Amino acid sequence: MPWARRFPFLVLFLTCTAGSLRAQVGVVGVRDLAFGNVIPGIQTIVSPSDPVRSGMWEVSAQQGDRVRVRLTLPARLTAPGGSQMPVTFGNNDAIAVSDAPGATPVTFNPRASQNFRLVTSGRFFIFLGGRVTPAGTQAPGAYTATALLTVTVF
Amino acid sequence: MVNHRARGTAIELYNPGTEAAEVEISTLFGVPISDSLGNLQLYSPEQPDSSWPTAAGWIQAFPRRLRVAPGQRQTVRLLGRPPATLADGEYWARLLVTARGGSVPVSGVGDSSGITVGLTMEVRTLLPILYRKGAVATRLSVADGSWSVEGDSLVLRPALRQTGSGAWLGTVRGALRNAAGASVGTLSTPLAVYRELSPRITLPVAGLAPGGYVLELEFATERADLPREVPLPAEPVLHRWTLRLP
Repeated sequence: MPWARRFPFLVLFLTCTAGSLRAQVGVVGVRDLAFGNVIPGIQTIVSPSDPVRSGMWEVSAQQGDRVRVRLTLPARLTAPGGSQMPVTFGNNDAIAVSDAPGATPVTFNPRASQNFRLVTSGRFFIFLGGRVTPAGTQAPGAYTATALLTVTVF
Repeated sequence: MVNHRARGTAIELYNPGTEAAEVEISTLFGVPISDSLGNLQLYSPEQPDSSWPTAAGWIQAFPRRLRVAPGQRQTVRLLGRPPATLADGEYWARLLVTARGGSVPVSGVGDSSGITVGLTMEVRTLLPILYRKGAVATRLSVADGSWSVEGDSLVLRPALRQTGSGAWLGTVRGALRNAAGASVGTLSTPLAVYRELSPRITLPVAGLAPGGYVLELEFATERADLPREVPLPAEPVLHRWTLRLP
């Protein structure tokens, strides 16, 4: 199970050290989107609500901030030998949820930008699902690509 | 914020994780604008025309590439190298920080299909930079714009215009009053108006009777999320908006 190993944390916190107040922004790639082992010719779907296999980012800013998130997603995954496999994302394959108690998850299209205002908490999470359809003749290998989350603080 | 007298400031990167992060830092021009629905987006042309006061070409980060080890902090300095003829005013840019993790594990394929699939997560952060030289002032003008009721919310699109030499950074606070003058709803939201903005601001109105209301808005250069010296001071702007809810 090569994808059972998860990247522990890809973390970046930015702190502006000037001024009387330390403005801090954190964007964290917490968990990779892991389709795991797939079977040739059989579609594999990972739901964004999957607690183990969905991709996950954590975003933190100042409470009250307005932020815009944009996902840059691949259309194909590539194996070391150059073989490729299509990957697709549906209109409901992304979820954003604040860490505030009782927060309601927001489902959105991961190919469209989303604006959030951090009303009750300065921290929220984004989850990503997707689907891959390996061909019946798909070559063995570890297929990978990168999903990029861009966070703009207004 | 970078002051022309100091020419520089610093940011601190912190990696509390267990894996090193490769970080790239660059600058670009970008200011928030509102789209046709009032959502904020970043206007970021590669080469803004001369009417935009861009600092993207002459603010540099040192270092621009670095590796932040697990649990480590590293300081990145932002240095302004403006042209000698730079006029007084405020100049805008965005700091683009891209962070990547370690290599993808591609070994260990061993099950029956021999096919494993996964996406790695990268992050990119865009933060505002303000470079100020000399006397800088900000002024905000407010017009009614448009409004509508969507579901249980009043959606406001005030027409805001910054007419000074620096961005207007502040907070709008509002109170919706009924015909008797009683407050039946309040709002508070931070705003950044670089030139023109018509942002979408919502106020819950569920249960309110149809009829006439007055929305009192105060735009003040206070931001709880920013260091005190960042918003330029300006007199609060008061605006009254007469509405008739269906």
